[in-house]
Amino acid sequence: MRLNARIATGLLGLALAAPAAAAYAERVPEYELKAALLYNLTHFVEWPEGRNRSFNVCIVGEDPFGALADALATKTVNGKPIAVRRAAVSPELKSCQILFVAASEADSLGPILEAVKGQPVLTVADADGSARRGAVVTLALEGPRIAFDIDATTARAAGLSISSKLLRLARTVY
Amino acid sequence: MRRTHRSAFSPFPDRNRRRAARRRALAVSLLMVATAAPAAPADLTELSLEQLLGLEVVSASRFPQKRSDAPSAVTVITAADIKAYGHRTLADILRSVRGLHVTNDRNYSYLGARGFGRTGDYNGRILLLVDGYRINENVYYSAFIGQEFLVDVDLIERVEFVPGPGSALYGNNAFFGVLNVITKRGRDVNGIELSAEAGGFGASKGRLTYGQSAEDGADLLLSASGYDRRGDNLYFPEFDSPATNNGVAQGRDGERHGSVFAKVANNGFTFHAAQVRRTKGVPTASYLQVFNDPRSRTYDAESLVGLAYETAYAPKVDVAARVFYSQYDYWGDYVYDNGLGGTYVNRDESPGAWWGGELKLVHRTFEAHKLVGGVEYQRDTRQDIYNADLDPTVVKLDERHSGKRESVYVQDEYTLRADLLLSAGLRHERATIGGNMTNPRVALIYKATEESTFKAIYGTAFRAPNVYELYYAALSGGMKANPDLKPEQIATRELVWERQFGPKARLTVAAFDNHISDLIAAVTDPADSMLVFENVASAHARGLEVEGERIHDSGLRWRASYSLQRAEDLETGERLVNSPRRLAKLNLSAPVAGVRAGLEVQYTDNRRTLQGETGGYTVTNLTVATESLAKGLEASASVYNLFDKAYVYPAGEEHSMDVLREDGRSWRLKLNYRF
Repeated sequence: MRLNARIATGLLGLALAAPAAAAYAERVPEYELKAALLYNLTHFVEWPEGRNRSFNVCIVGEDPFGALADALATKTVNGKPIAVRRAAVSPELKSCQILFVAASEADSLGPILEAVKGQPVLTVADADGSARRGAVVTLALEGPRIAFDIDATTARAAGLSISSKLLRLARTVY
Repeated sequence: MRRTHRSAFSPFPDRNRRRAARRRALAVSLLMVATAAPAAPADLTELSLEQLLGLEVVSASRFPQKRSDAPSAVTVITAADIKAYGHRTLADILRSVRGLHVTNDRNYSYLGARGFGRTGDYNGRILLLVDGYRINENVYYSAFIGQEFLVDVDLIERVEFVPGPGSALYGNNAFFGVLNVITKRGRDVNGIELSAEAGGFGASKGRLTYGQSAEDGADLLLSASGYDRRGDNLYFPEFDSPATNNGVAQGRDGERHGSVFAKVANNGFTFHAAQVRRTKGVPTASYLQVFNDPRSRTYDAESLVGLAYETAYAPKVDVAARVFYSQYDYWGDYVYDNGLGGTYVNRDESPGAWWGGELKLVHRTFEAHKLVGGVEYQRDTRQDIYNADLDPTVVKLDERHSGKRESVYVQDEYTLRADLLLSAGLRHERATIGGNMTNPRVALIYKATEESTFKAIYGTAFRAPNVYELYYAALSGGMKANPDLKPEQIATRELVWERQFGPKARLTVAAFDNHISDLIAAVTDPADSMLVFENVASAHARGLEVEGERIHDSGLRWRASYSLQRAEDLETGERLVNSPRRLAKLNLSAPVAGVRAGLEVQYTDNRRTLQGETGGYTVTNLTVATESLAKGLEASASVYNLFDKAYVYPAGEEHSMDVLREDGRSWRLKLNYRF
């Protein structure tokens, strides 16, 4: 069976282009970036004084970070070490400073946010289509880049103080 | 397409045609200089927020989120899959889905689900939706999955196949399942995208897409595509005689397609406008036509205009409303011997038009209940079938029909306990064709552990007889109408087990049992020897499907499925035609030397044909794709049927041959440029 000459040319062309292509890679894994973003948010948000000895970052739903989140555990916020927890039960959620709701829970976002309503918890929703559903921060992908929306009303109601710098960098504020 | 009456046929002297050779040159500059870019730093937490927002991400590999409102084992195919595996049409996409098998008779592509794929049926037993709009046209209820499908495959964000009876939510045609095609948004394109393709058998395609989004969520997507395929010279042993060009249909397998698509979203409103037109040469001399005549072809066109509005009416109440207008046009030219040494063309037409509206409420107010309720109205203003001989025009059939369909449905998802969910739905439909239908679906979902879920599902669905089955009559004899046809019905029991192994691996096992009654089939009435459609047949299909999926940290993704199924005609006890006993599929995508390789291996077991049986076959497809040739440039090269395997599909009643040979090895080169 003779291999179609045109296929060979096409594949050869791609193979030749590949080494040159490697130089183009300036892309990072999505959740490595989102983990860094979560850490960065702590510089722009003020929580009321709390009794917790650690700064709790909780993940609800199918954990997309895996080992990446554990890297956060080496950092501190306002002198308190970051503790990363995978939370499931609602009483736990109230003691979180950051509550990351994974994309798998997009349908249950409402009830999860209800559980922490009024508490100083920075809720971060990780799915497009979760906008305006009550999370303080909603993460989204704009083409190949990360963007986020801020719900200033909910932040205020939760007792969180958001720096104007963060509001300026947000895609939408409502 | 679409008729079963027979007319006299006699072999006809061959027409030798010389066709102008067309060469298509595709200039590809693959060695563009890659812009040097800074390597990403090791610790992203060291970067400022502005810097983080400026980085580009490689989208995480994860199992795509299922949005369908259905408690069954849904399969989701994403845009990334479509790119990785080089899928050219919706038919290619569906070939990779668990439990489905696709056949093609060189005119249309047909979808078989769970062992049921009778030749000559027009996909009326699968409901095809695009962004929620019903695509099955209103004359044959066919769902088009080939190049005649409404939307260019590159505009697809995801395809969700929900197996099982869906009439409790969707009504007519949701017999074996519902196919939900969701299109991309303007912000997924974010600029202008140009695409050019060249492929085997003289295929070429061009597409221009523009997408844009604004800060307040307004979104615009516009696209236009054109496709042309010369087609191969095909050899049919059944016609191998000097009088019929020695069995060679020369250049009769051509295909041409054009489509436009527009989607505008703003403030809760979404507007859709789309149209597709496709012309296909028919080389098989179906319906006893003259062989190798260039005039044998079919033309299908479908248009859709729709406006939808979604809003949160109250804190826990979502409201969605939509109105739409659709049109379907079909004509087919069939060439016959006029018995006087010449030929004549017989033309079939079936124009359809329908409009309608839908209102849906999602109510989450009560503790532990998620209530969905809706009303739908559809008015079929035109469901015509027309048939005439041309030159001179002798009208043989001119049926004009119209009708309407009113339905109301309700569904409740009741969380009985933290680990137990009961979903119950019911839909009542009243239609001009088919009368009154009421269909329930009940599912019990038990979350045994965090990682293990069991589902038990029971539901019924129907397919109303279409205008063609009811009213088509050949005045010259051979076929008569049957306005008393009733809808076909199916009752399905299904058991599903889904087991997660961490977030990146999943096993799905599904067992199903389908009882199908009042199946519509063409039979010969002994009283007058005329063909007529009757609700005569019934079938029983049962099977077991197993599917495993895994995403590895290295970036390797795979999905493998195996289906064991048995579908029998209850009258005769025989296996149904075109029902493979086993299906095995593998999709594997891996990063290799800076590019991404996508491998598909699909095994289909032997199937019964109308006259016998045909063997099993395996098809292998390989795609190599790269996104980083240069900024904004994506390229891919695909080989389909890599090992040039000769395989056949069972032919239908309208074909003189028992089986149809499918394409051998073929290829495609594709370039996408965004700016």
